[in-house]
Amino acid sequence: MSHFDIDEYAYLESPFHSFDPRAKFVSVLVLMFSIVLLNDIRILAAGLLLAVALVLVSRIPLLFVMGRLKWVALFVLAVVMVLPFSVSGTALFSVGALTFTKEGFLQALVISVKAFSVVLLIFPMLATMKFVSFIKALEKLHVPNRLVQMITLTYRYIFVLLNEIQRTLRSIESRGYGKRTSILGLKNLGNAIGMLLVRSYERGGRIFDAMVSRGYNGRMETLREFEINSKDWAKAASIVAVAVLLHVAAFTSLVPPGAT
Amino acid sequence: MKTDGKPMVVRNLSYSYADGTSALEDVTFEISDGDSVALVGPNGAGKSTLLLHLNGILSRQNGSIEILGLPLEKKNVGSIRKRVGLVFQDPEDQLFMSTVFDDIAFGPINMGLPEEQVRERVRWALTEVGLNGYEDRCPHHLSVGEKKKVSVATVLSMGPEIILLDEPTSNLDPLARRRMIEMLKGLRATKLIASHDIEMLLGICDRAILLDDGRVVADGKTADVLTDPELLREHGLEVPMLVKLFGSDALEVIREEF
Repeated sequence: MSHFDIDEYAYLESPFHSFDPRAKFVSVLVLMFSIVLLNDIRILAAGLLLAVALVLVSRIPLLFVMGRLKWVALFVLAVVMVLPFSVSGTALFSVGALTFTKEGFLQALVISVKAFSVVLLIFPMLATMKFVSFIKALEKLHVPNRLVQMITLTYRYIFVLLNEIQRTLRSIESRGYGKRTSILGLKNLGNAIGMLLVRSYERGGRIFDAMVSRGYNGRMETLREFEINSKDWAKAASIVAVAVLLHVAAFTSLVPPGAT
Repeated sequence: MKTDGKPMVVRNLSYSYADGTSALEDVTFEISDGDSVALVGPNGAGKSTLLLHLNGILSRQNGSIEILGLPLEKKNVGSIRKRVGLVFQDPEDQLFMSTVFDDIAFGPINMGLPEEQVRERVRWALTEVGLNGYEDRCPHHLSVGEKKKVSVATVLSMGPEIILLDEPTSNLDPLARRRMIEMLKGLRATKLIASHDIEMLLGICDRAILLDDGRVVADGKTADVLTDPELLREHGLEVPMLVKLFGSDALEVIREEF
């Protein structure tokens, strides 16, 4: 039983797919931080364009990207709707008791552009590699091993857990307590969740036994699989250079940020 | 290390769970080098509990266990685990890494083997279970039969001298079961197989230990223990149809079959 394919677009061919996972992760992360730390809307606009361009380069289907972006849009919308009349500054117009300011609109725009740019960059960064490669990249980048173990086990067992939930819900349903919202229905659901916790706990114990019996000593290690080459270095260097350039541009910009 | 040809010697082993339930009582048996031994008994007889003792996951409360000439004690547990492989019943418990390769490499890496040797062992173990080319697959995309075989491979890669298997043929469809049996027959290590699949045990094992209520109630040739209808029925097991039909000739039929 597969639920969704997390690696759906990991097998395409693009400069991002052939990019060494470690170098890709680090360099795109630098670019993300660089964009988040900008405040000049004109340079942010350039950042957004850059993010769109990188998504295009990565060949991830735009329909898929749009589908994911709508959740970000919902979140951004909540902030953007409030800002124009909650930030004080030059009044543009008022509706009833609410005064809409120029600074408010600008800040709303800045936040939206940042959010969309960063979320867009996640696609070339993560959707272009298998999730397993991402975990390995973290391991090889010396992210704390416990964290790597937690991600590994979560990824391995999330599907097992989903199957178990599905089976439990089906067995409840097949005995006549469907998605009924009643005290009894909720009671049954509560019991089912309790059972699931107990079962997960027991499975955890058995998994630990299986690990220990194969010599587990607190660390989870895998063999080196990535080979970083000059192309990877070039790609990483260009992305980091762009990240730096954005800030150089912001710094040398004739008009100080926020004055637009 | 002297083992006198007896890589496993268990004497007066007893164990009770924290709630006081007794799981094993005064269990005593020996296994000779290269033996394939069946461990049978009804649910709750203590089969799994016994297996968990034999590579030191559960620590004995009474009695003694000697594995490959070493007493099973805290200071030996590490080296014993390298040499005694335990294959769990549920492959979802056994396979915890995100790819088949990483799972089979887990044991050898923990043994501190160099990279090239780890790769070599993974290749070899996959060949042994007939799953070459499965390296990059994720465990949750495998069939139950494949998962069970990979589980065996994760233990084989450690090069154990003794392999303990808990229900290797449960939940398998007939074809997958047959393949599993063929594979198990081909393994050269000393084996202890806990199962309800009496036909399979008759096909693979020379000796059988019958456990009920935590005690050894019979220990002898499979041909004697597992074809004794009264003994089996008394302990919640059943004689396979083939044995009912052909009596002692059944063994030959089964051996030919697998």
